[in-house]
Amino acid sequence: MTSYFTGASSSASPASASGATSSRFSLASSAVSSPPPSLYSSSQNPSSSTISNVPNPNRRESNRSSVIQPSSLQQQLFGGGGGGGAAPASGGGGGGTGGPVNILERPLNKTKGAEVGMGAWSFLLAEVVAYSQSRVDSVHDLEARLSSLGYEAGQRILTLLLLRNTQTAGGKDPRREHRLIPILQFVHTQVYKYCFGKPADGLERSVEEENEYMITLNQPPLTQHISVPKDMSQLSCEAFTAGIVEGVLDGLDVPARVTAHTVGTDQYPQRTVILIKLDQKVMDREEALGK
Amino acid sequence: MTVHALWVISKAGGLVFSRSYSDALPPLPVNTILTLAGILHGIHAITAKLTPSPIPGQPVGGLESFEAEGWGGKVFLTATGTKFVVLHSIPHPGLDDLLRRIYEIYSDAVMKNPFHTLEMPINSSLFETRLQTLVASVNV
Amino acid sequence: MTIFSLYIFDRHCECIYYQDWHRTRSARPPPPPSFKAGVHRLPPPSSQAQHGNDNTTTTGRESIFSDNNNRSSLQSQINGGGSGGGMNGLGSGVGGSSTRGPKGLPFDEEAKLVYGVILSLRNMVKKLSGREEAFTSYSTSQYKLHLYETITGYKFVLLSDPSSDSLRFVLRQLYVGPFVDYVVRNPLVVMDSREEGIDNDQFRAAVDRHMRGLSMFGT
Repeated sequence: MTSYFTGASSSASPASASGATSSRFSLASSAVSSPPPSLYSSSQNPSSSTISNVPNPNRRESNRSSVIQPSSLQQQLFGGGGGGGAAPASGGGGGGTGGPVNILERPLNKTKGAEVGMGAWSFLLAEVVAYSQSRVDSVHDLEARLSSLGYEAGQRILTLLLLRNTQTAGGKDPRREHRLIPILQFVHTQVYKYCFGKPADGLERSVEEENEYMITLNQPPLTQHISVPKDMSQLSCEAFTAGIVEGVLDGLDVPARVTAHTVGTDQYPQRTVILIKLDQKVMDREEALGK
Repeated sequence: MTVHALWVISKAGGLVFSRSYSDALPPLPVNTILTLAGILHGIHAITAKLTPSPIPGQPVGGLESFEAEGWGGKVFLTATGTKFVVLHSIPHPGLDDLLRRIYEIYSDAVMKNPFHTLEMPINSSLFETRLQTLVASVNV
Repeated sequence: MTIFSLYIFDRHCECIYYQDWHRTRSARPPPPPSFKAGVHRLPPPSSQAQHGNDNTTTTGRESIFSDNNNRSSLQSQINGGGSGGGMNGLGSGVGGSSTRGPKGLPFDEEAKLVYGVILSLRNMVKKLSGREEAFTSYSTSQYKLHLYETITGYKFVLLSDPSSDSLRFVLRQLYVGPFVDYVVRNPLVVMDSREEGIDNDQFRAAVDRHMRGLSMFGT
């Protein structure tokens, strides 16, 4: 029960528009130093807590913020203007009253306290699986469906993590991995830590195939309560995690086919192996870059 | 304390899970247990009606436990109407705690399992193994 | 610790005796058609008093309504007032009758339910254990029911508050004490009659005395 599916993923999984804009939005709000107030409607300025939370509002980001789309879009999405008619009603106007900050206005690089309860996640995933199951004919299709959902999440997670790395690096562009092994380690450590609260339990290369890698997780938290009926024993709901990994890898230009397999041991009956079968293109590139 | 058996009765009175954990009580065919669970469900409703002195402001509950010679049963009613019935030996220290943990396992392994249909028999290996572990830690 | 009520059933599933002490939701008197003499001393529904009187006269024993509350003027008029004197403070005259406001079930239905619950639970326990044994008690959040069964098939049932320990020994004492003395050895009581109960003044008084002597009787 200790692990959490950390929070920002929930802001990543809603429809694409909100995911993208919310990140842009809070980047912007974090960058609000004095110069370009015109971009931000008055409704955002009151959220002073958001602004003051940012330790180093540096020039560079405010430069970047000027690249941002016209504020009208934000106003449409998040409610603009002093009246704040469509403003985040649910959030209760976080900044002004000093109350809790609307989930959409929360600074993206603030991770503490942004975890999602395991129970909430479990029920959501259970519904996702049940919903998907009612729309497919075979176990394989179900896995494909879950995987595609994970893929969407993975892409966003990648963007978010890179963004956070940028911010923790003080605004400098962080190192962008291009070699295979560091990329896999990035997935193994950072992505897993972000999603599940701790790095994966193992990362190994297949003995037989050069282009196959495996990431193992002894007790996958996402599907820990799911018990697959006997007639679907092939199914592993960790296909969702496989999708996340695939999405992240794809975003880093490492196309691969990623599948999940439950390989239980006595100690860990739910131990899951994420099998990454890399595209030949990746192998060729590695070859070209040299050892 | 020894746990002899566990039943789970749905809010409609149907038996959705039953497992025996000791041989102190003779094994019964599933159909018999099904009937008994139905009877218990009925008794539960009637016993609430028989309350001789309802305390104002307190909910009138039905059967919570019964005792026979050397063993007994405890009925744990959840807020949603599901009943957990544990047949146990006497004395039974820590029984309440055990029932809460069974409920916890139920909410985790059954309610969060997308392959479970409400009011239908519980068919979850996860539920069974977790219960097995829990009961094994209690049974002496 | 409180004691609520006592039921005695015979082997024909009939309730043959009833007495209560601290009930706030008392049983309602049964409608005349299902009235059985010599079981309880609940005041009859006042409009039906005439029937009740008929029944009492046929028993040949002292009126079972002799101690009913005098607030029902019609009642005391029919029963001739004077017979009530001896039973003051006994039986249903205690506590319960004065607060008899919120209505419970009619007595005959309640007795049937009690017996039904006992019988079902007894059968269930028997099936589960595979032995000839009955359950000894059950409890809910608000009361506890104790069962003592004699070899001759009489079932003594006591309702107490849920926190009490086993009270079967009390039921056994009632059986070997007042029951043997004032029912079994009383030639005027027809045992096993199926028509009427075993109520008589001495038995009721002895039971009452016994219960009040218990530390768990309550206030």
